[in-house]
Amino acid sequence: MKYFIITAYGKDQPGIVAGLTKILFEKGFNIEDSAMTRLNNEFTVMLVVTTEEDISEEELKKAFENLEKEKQLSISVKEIPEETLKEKREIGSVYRLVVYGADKPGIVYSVAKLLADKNINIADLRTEKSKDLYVLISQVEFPKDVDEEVVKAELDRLKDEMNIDISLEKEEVVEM
Amino acid sequence: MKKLEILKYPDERLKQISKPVEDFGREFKEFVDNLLYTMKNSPAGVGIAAPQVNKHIQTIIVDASEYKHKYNKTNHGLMILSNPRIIAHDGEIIIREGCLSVPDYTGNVKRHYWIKVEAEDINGKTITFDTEGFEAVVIQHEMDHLQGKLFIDRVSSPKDIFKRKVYKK
Repeated sequence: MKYFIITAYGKDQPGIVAGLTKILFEKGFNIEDSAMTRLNNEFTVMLVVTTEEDISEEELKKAFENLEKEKQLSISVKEIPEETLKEKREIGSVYRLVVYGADKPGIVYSVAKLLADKNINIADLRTEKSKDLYVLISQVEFPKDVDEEVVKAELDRLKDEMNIDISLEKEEVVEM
Repeated sequence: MKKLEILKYPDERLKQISKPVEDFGREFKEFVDNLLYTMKNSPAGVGIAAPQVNKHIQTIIVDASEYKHKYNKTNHGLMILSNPRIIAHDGEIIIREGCLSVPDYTGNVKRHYWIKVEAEDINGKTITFDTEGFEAVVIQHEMDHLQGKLFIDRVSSPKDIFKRKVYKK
């Protein structure tokens, strides 16, 4: 099995997803994971795809050439090495982090730096801006040895320093 | 007592609508014993619905008493409810739900915070009670199974559904 990561972006218009997935479908690919969304006026696509076929990065890249021209997209293709796929990190707990406040430079950076310094991994992060209100919503993974209280204290400090609101809540799953 | 097999999505039988319970006799009670045993011997064991084990009758079992959760403030312990109806509700709550019938995903689902429920107990006697928070969510989750609905049907955005691999420790 071969794994590739494909990214594509271009001016938003109907037919981008259809164009990309038609090629993947016809070449016998499976879409394993994906995120596709419009950021301002640019449509962005990120895909992890798999195939049993023996196809190279270049060949797959070439398959997208016509679509790239037709829709004026930037498409990149990269094969994911097998050893990366087998890597498993140990996760302690998953948290949802929400940050919001008046827009100012450095909100994302200051939060991300705090997390990185504690070896906390960002699994998902989105930001939205509407007029002056900036909102960051993120799913983060704490390693086993990180103390929630210590992180909360540091986030509180950042909250005062940047004059923003921050909430951190553990993601609890209930089996029913 | 025996552990019954739990249907897993995409099994079409999870989408069937269950019939009301009319006969609360011996056969029904035997089934409930097995359903309870199945629930107690499953990972979390806070709730189960009859259609999850391919019996399409309107019976659910809920037991929130042993589950620690920030919204679990009051509960009624073990409850065997047939033909449950929500006759009043108020407020909203979002909990990350997992389901024995949808093993690979979890989702944030919005439900009523407070509900008033009318149902038949194990002997067919009609009872009424109200509950809130965690127990109210479990009841609503199990009641959905009786209508052929899964929590995935209730997830409001793609950002609220999660592949479970993230949580493997």
